[in-house]
Amino acid sequence: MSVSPYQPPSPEQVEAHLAAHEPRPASPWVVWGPLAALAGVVGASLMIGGSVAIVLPWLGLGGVFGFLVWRVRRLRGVDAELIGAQELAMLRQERRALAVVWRVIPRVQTQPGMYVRAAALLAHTLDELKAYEAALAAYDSLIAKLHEDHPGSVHLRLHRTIAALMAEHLTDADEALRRLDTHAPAAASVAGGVGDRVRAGDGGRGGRGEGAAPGAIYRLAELIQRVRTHHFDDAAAAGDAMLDELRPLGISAGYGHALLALCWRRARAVADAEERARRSALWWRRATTLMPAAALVDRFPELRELAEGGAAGQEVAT
Amino acid sequence: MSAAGEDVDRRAGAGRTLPPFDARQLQRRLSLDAAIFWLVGAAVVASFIVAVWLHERHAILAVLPAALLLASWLGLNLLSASASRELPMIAAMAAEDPAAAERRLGALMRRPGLLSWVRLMLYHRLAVLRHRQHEFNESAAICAAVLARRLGPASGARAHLLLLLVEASLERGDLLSAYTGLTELHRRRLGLVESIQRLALQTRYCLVADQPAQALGELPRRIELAEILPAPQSGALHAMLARAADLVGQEAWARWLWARAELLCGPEQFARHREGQFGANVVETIEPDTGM
Repeated sequence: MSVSPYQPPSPEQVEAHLAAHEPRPASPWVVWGPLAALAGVVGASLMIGGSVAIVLPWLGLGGVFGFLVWRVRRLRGVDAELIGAQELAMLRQERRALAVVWRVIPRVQTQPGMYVRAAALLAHTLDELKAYEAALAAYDSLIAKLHEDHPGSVHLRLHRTIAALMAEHLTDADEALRRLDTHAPAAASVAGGVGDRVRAGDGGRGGRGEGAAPGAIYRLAELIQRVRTHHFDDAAAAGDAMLDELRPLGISAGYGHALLALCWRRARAVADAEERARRSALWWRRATTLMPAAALVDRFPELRELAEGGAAGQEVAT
Repeated sequence: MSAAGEDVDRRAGAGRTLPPFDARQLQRRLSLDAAIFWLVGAAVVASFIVAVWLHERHAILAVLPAALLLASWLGLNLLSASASRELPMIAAMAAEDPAAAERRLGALMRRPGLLSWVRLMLYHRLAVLRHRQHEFNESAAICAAVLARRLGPASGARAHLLLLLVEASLERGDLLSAYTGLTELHRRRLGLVESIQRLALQTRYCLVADQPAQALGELPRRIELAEILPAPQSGALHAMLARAADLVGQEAWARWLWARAELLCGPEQFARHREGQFGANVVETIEPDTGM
């Protein structure tokens, strides 16, 4: 199946592509073939005898070494292509990254580590391209293949939850968040749930949030859920602690700050309208310090009202 | 070596199990490994001569040299493979349990007959460990010794060794060594993460060498790359750029960069950066792809 490099594939296409290229063990011929060939050559040498018997085993050995070198080089080439795709995604060139990783997946079926990296990158690029249904299909396919204790499992579940929220699958996302908080895989590592880990001040990695601490991603997912379910007061009540809790997301913390600005704008629990406007403008200023308003609105269209009223809000904040 | 560097080394030295790095010991171990390989090679050649001489009388001797080569190749590679498989785990252990990582490294280093690149990669991990322990004199010495040798299949680690060396040199106040390392890094083709690490070190070098204007060249591109780093490192790089902007009087940039740095760093880290302390935090916390 081929895909246009500038069009994200549909969920059906993603499902079909991943189903057609499921990870599988390497063929026994690839594993045992070289040894069998070598044994055959040695047997032939013993039977033939004479000077040929001296040369033949060396030819056999040369052939096996040559085959092994070719295999290693081929794998390194695919790995370099995958690293290139990951770098494209880091540089926000998701369409190009998607095109590369789509081609790579069929070539890493027998390499479990590379397959997980490639499938996770496919899901991530679809997510970034706002093809949320397709991203969900990729996340589901990969999560189903991973053991719950896999180090990347919690991250994938969290990103899948965010994709579900963005696709308005609110019940699904709510269940996923509950599971992550109470029955999370590696429950020990998520010590009492991801939420508690945030409160314990988990450190973070990943400037654009891709490799950030699970706690921070969980907090962002919770925030999106509250915005999507109109629980603005609950989100606003979290206060300035959210600044530290979202920090491990790096630049992507800007999304969280912008959503908090929206929550303060729409919250009704605080009666003082001026205080609400001041808090909203403060969070919006933090958000736009990290990310351009256009990028925030592109991801969360509900932020448009803040972007349009941004200048007025800034004045209140200062 | 600066007095500050010595002090840091002394404080971090407690709890070590391996003796201080000695380049001569590394050379001795590499020579012993090479001697073992030469002995095996000589045995294969001898068996080949015997086979050519006697194969008419004993047919089995015809395959002996090839079998001997295969067996010794498998044996020596298995020995090195078990050590090389532990390398990623040791890198992770260096962060979680440095004492355990050091004990494991010590045990693996004592094995004779390792492939030279595997032995050098064990020393690379020792350099990472010492760097994390802020023992910059020793980490710089290890990096320099390993970089002086051919790394073969592990040549992907050369860039990381150079990054470690540059950061350790900056910590020790050795600007000449830092400059040489940066120049070498500019000659190499680097991955994206390594390029950003180099950018961060170069920015720090420009600040230390009193060349703030150099640190601000292609500023939008630098900021775009800084955004890719994890939050603490991204914050540190933003703070360095902000400091440079302060020094050259670009107030608008400086204000915006400091505001970003404050959001990206924790309060303590930000306070340190505000005082002009940037510390070693770029290379040690990101384990690069070393091609293995």
